[in-house]
Parts: sequence; structure tokens; C-alpha cells
Amino acid sequence: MIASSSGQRFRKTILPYALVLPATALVFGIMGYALIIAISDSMHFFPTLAREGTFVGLKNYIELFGIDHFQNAVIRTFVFVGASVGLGLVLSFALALSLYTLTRNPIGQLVRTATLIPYLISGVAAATMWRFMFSGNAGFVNLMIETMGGQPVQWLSDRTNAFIVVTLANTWKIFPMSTLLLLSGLLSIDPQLYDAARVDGSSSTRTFLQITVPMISTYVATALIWLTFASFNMFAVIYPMTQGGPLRATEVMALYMYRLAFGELRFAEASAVMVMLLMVNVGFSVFFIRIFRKRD
Amino acid sequence: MEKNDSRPSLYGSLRSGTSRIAAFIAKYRLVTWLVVIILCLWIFLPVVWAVLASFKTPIEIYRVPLRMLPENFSLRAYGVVLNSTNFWRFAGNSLYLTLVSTFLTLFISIWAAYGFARMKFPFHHFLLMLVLVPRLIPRISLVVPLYRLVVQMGLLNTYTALIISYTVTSLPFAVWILSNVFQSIPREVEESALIDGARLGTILWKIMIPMSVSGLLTVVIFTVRETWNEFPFVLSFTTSAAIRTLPYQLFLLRDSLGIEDWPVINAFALLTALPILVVYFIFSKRITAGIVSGSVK
Repeated sequence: MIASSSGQRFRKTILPYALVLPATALVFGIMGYALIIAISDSMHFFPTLAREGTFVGLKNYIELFGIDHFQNAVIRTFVFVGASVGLGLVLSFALALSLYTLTRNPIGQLVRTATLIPYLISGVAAATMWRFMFSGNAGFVNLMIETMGGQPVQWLSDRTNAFIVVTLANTWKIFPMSTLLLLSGLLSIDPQLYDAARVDGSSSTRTFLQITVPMISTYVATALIWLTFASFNMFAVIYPMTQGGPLRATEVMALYMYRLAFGELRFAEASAVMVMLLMVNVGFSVFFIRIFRKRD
Repeated sequence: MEKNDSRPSLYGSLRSGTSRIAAFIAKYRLVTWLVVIILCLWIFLPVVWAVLASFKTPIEIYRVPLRMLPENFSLRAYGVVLNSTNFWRFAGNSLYLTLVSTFLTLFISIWAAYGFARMKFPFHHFLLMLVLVPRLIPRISLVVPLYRLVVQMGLLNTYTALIISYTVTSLPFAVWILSNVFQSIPREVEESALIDGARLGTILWKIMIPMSVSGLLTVVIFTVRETWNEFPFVLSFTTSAAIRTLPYQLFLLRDSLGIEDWPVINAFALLTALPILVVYFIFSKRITAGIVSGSVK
């Protein structure tokens, strides 16, 4: 009897923690600690690479805003993210709507399965393929231009063009996931709603804007969060393609942070960039959730 | 198309009305297919171009006018990659890191998810938040602080540093998915087993795990994808070739030669992508549903 009641007590009081604490301790212990290190580092000045530094408060943050390279990185990040999210959303809506009308078509189903390929392959592999597509003398694009009698274009060695190519590659990598999200949103709508709209004589554009979009607003929000989050933190596609170049043309915040830390060994400033990047991420996620959840 | 022809004869009086709708659908279909074709080109052209290039000879690569198909499918590039020094070492490293991290993630998250899904205890909600909220922290932003931690603990150039990083960053998602899946399993299923005094391990192994295969597969494909493809951590935490992974080596290929050997680089990229694509296409039906449900919640 005693044994079983103590067994009961173990089940009730200790067992839950025994199950849950390893995961909690690992995740919060390491990620939380890393976060604390980053915040603390960002407020210190390190004369050497040793751990001890002097506390300087928000000085690193304030100074960063005066640095040209940081401003360059921030502006490029927002253009990069804005363009990727805009293009990504348009492309994934177009593909999701098309795949929706082809739900029962075997080719549609095949395309739907294969759409995820860019998402599944590694960022480095994606970068390799895109670097090859736009390579100066072996790339598909330049060979096509030359075949049609044009002059080859400098893609990755030109500042503007490199930025465009990197944005395209990023969009290519991240839009499959949002397509899938939007498609599953479309599939969750009761088809009878469309029939009703058709009977009422609603035009297809109106039906789309007044029925489809509001009905899937949660999915649109999730797609937007995904696209923004992935673009803000994209490293694995950009770095192998250009390493931030030429002349910092593709150096977004994630790459700038990496360069500060591992190229210039300025961990305090790198940590400050990291903290800002994190705040922007959280800010945007909260923003999208608020906008789209309110309508429900 | 046949349907459109037969309908008007069936509904004689509605003829003009139906055929208008049919024409509208036909027009719509055309637009749909056009969009699908254009987007398929956009999705698949980089991959197809890389695949075809991997079978070409280095000279063919630069030839104008452009030709999609290789003259004769040459396997040279694949031979070069597979016989290159350390290729199998790098593949082994990638495989080892992926297997260990995925196993650890699953093992730790299954117990935790069961605890969160089925038990009531003080600080339940608080502890759950501690695991879930870090999902908002992107991997790239962990590189800098984790690097300092890795240096402090003397773990540079070790598998341990990478395995811990991969497991820790995979756990939030895994716990989240699995506790949702476990919650959706009716309690009655395990109650009879509980009355019989079955041990927790038995309940998990015999009841919960078999009933949540889709959820587990989702966690597996996510963790495997993240670990197999991971780049910033391995780039920052390792310098030694002994524990280099495939993505890192692919990255280094760009400046190992003066003139880039594109067939070899493409063959290497495709070989690294192949295992994950194979796994995905085997389980695609179950995984796609899981990926979506995992992202929406």
C-alpha cells in the first residue's frame, strides 16, 4: 500500500517535471543564456577579445546608427525584405489559386508536391544554382541573351544587378512555403460560399476580395510572417552567392552582423545588431498577427 | 472539352447561358494553365539547368548558341565528386550530425510533449512558454552569442557544439507539434492501460507513438531538413576539415579553383540535395499536411 501511494505521489508531483524539464532547461538554458550574453555584450566595450569589458550602456547602439555601413545594411535589408515579401506574396497567391482550381488534376497534384523543392534544398545549394543561372559566361540568362544576339550582362559583379539576383533567389527559396499555406487556406473554404456569391452575381474579382481574402486572413498572416521572418534572417542563400558584395551591395543586416563578428571581431557591435534584428523580427510578427486576427 | 459540347444538347433551352459559362471556364482554365506553366518554369528552371549542366563537359558549358541538353550524357562530374578527397567523410559528418540531432530532438520532445499535453502541475503554462517562445529567435541571430559560448566551453571544432545547437534550435518546434498531436488523442485510449498499471514508457511506445505517426514524421522532416542543410553554425563553429559538412564544402568549392568547374559544382549541389528530396517524395502526402498544420497553429 505504502509503495503504491508513494508511487502515486511520484506520478503526481515529480514525474511531470522529470518529463518536461530536460526540454525546458535545454531550450531556455541555452537560448535564454545566449540571449542574455548577446544583450550584455551589446552594452559592453571590449578592448581585447577577452571576456571582460567595460559597461557602456547603449553607446554601441547609438554609435551604430552613425556608421555608414550599418545604415547601408539597414536600408538594403528593408528593400530586400519588402521586395521579397511583395514578390513572394504575389507569386504564391497566383500559384495557390491556380493549384486550387487544379486540385483534382493529376498534373496539378504533381506540381503541388514538387513546388516544395526550393524549400527543401539547402540555402547553399540554392545559392549555387542561382549563381550558375546568372554566371557571366556560363549562365543560362547570359547564354540566352547571347544566343538571341545581345550583349552579355554583368549580373553578380554589378551592384544593382547583384541585389536583384539575390532578391530573386531569396524569393525563389521562400515562396513555396507560403504557397502551401495559402493553398491550404483556400482549401479550408466551404465551396458553397462561392456558389452563393455566383448566384448573387458577384464578379470574380469581388468574390476574391470580399470572400476569399477575409476567409483566409489567418493563412495570409501566417504566409506574411513566414516570408518576412525568412527574408530578414536570410544568410545561407546570400552569403555563398556574393558574401555581401560587390562593395556591400547585398550586405543585409544578417550578413553585416556576421562580418562584424567574424570578419572584424567586433562582438559588441555584432551583438547590438543581433538584438535589433531580433526586435524587428518580433515586431513584424506581432504586427501581422494583430492586423489579421482582428478581422476574425 | 467534350463535356461542354454535350451539355447544350442536354439542356436545350439553357444553351446560350451554359455555353457562356463554359466559355468563361475555358478562358479561366487557359489563364490557370498559363500561370502554372510560367511559375513551373520559375521554380524548376534553376534546378533543371543545374541537372543538365552536371552531365555536360566543361567546354560545353560555355557554348553559344545555348543548348539545354548535353551532347552525350557524361558522368564525369559525378565521378569527380564521388572520388574527391574527403567527399564521403563530409557526407558521413552530415549524416552523423543529422541522425544524432534528430534522434535527440525526438527523444527529448516526446517526453516533454506528453508531460505538457497530459499532466497538470504548477508552472505548467510558464514552462511551456519557456520552450515555445524561443521559436521566435531566428537561428542566424544565435550564431554570435553561441559562438562565444562555444569558445568559452572549449567546444570549437567539435561535433558536440553542433549537435547541441541543432537539437536546441529544433526542440521548440518539435515540442509544439507533438504536444498538439498528443492532445488530440482521446484520453480514453490510454486510461485502460493506466488502470492496468502500465509504465509510462509502455504507454508512450505502445499507444501514443503509433497514434501520432504523421506528427512524428513532420518533426523528423523538419529537423532533418534543418540539420542536413544547416550552414551558418557549421561555418562559424568549425574550421577543421575533419568535421566539415556537405553544405560547407559546397560553399568552399567556389574558390577552390581558378576557373569554376561548373559541372562538378552542380553535381555536388545536386548530390547534397538528393537524400532530402528522396525522403520527402516518399512521405510527401503525410508531410505536406503536417508542415501546414505546424505553421498555422
